[in-house]
Amino acid sequence: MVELLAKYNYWIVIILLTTGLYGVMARQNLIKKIIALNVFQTAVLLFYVSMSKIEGGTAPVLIKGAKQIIYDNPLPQVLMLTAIVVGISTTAVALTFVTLIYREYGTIEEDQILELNKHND
Amino acid sequence: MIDVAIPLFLVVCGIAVLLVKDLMSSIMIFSVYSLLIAIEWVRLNAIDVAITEAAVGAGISTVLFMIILSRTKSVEECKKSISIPALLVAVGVAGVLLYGSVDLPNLRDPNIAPSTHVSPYYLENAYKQTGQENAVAAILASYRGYDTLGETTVVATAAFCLILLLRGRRHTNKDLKKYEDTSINKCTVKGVGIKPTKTSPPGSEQDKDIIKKTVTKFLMPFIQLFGLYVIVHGELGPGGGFQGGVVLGVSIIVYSLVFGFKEAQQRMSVKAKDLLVSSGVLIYGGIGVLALFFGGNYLQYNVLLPDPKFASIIGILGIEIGVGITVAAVMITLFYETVRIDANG
Repeated sequence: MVELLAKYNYWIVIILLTTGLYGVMARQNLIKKIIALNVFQTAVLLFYVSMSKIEGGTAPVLIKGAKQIIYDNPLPQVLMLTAIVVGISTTAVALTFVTLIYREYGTIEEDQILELNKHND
Repeated sequence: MIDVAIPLFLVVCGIAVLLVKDLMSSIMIFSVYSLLIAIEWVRLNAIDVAITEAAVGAGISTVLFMIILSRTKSVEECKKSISIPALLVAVGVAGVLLYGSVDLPNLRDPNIAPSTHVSPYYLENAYKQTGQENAVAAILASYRGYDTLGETTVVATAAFCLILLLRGRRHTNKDLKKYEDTSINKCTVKGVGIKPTKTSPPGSEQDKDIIKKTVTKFLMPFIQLFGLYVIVHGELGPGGGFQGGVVLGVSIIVYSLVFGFKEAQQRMSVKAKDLLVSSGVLIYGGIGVLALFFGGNYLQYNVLLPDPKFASIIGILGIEIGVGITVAAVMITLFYETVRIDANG
């Protein structure tokens, strides 16, 4: 079991990462692209946080008076914690751009926007 | 076993999100995905991350996507379902990463590089140097205080971007009035419980909303109290400014969703939250400058008061509150500004 788990989360991260990457490249819908980008982001978060877990470790909150306690690595958790909040803020900015594009072009499909741009030139 | 099952579900959800044609379903699956990953954070003992993810991923981001969807189109018009070049690139990247992962250190091993360099120092000295029992809060606010200041500023900047992009279009008084009328009830998404109240016959509206209004009224103080508790409790247990801030922000968003934008304005006006966005960053930066006046370095908390340990606790509490104010106000901004977008405008 432990043998299997040793690299398991890496595989999950790789699958999620490439799923997100494929979505960003292949989907024409802009909202779908942003969702795919979010999937990509969570894959990166999972990669970092997986590294913070230590076998038999407990959450990195000090237990007073107890000796010989293994704590999980707090550093990746701190970094990813702030990344989530920054991620939602930047997602909101991206979504705002989508609505502005919709106002301008009346569509959020990438191929149609490119088509409209061709006609304008 | 659950450590195997949850990531598998994640993969299933992640692929389903991209395959579903209806954007509404796609967003709902993504919400489930976020909830699952929050459980995975708990399994990995990253409790601070889990609190944030549950509020942000499953809560705010779902609401945001739904608002934007109601302002645009809800069906994806994709002709061909599979793009061969993109698939080739994705498979190629997966292959390269898989090849690379062979050399990555085994997970859960205490002797791997990420756990042996700087983290043991933090764990050993966090309580002695900063008075924080929660190592995550100590690193966030003290060891990596500059980082966090930068991130708080980024979050505030995103809110300013939204305000500039969306509010700059309001020129005339007539437009202003139009926006004030736009409550969430107007944003109707096909198949969602939120229906336009204006078209329903008189009397039935009250009956339809009474359950969610009563439940919201009942829950609101508890949600907000929990948010405040999480901000202040960062010193002793899981919690801090980012986590508590998003919970507080969610409480106002829920209120606004149930009672409408106009009613929510009386609790938290647009002007007040605009002020709060920048004042939180100001509190953070101000404490840093205060440390300079007392002869220390920027953000060196232990010079603020005669007792260095107590000063450190107070200083960190101060910046956690600053972060909490900014993050809560930014989350409210994201909701307020997008919900005021006029679909026809």
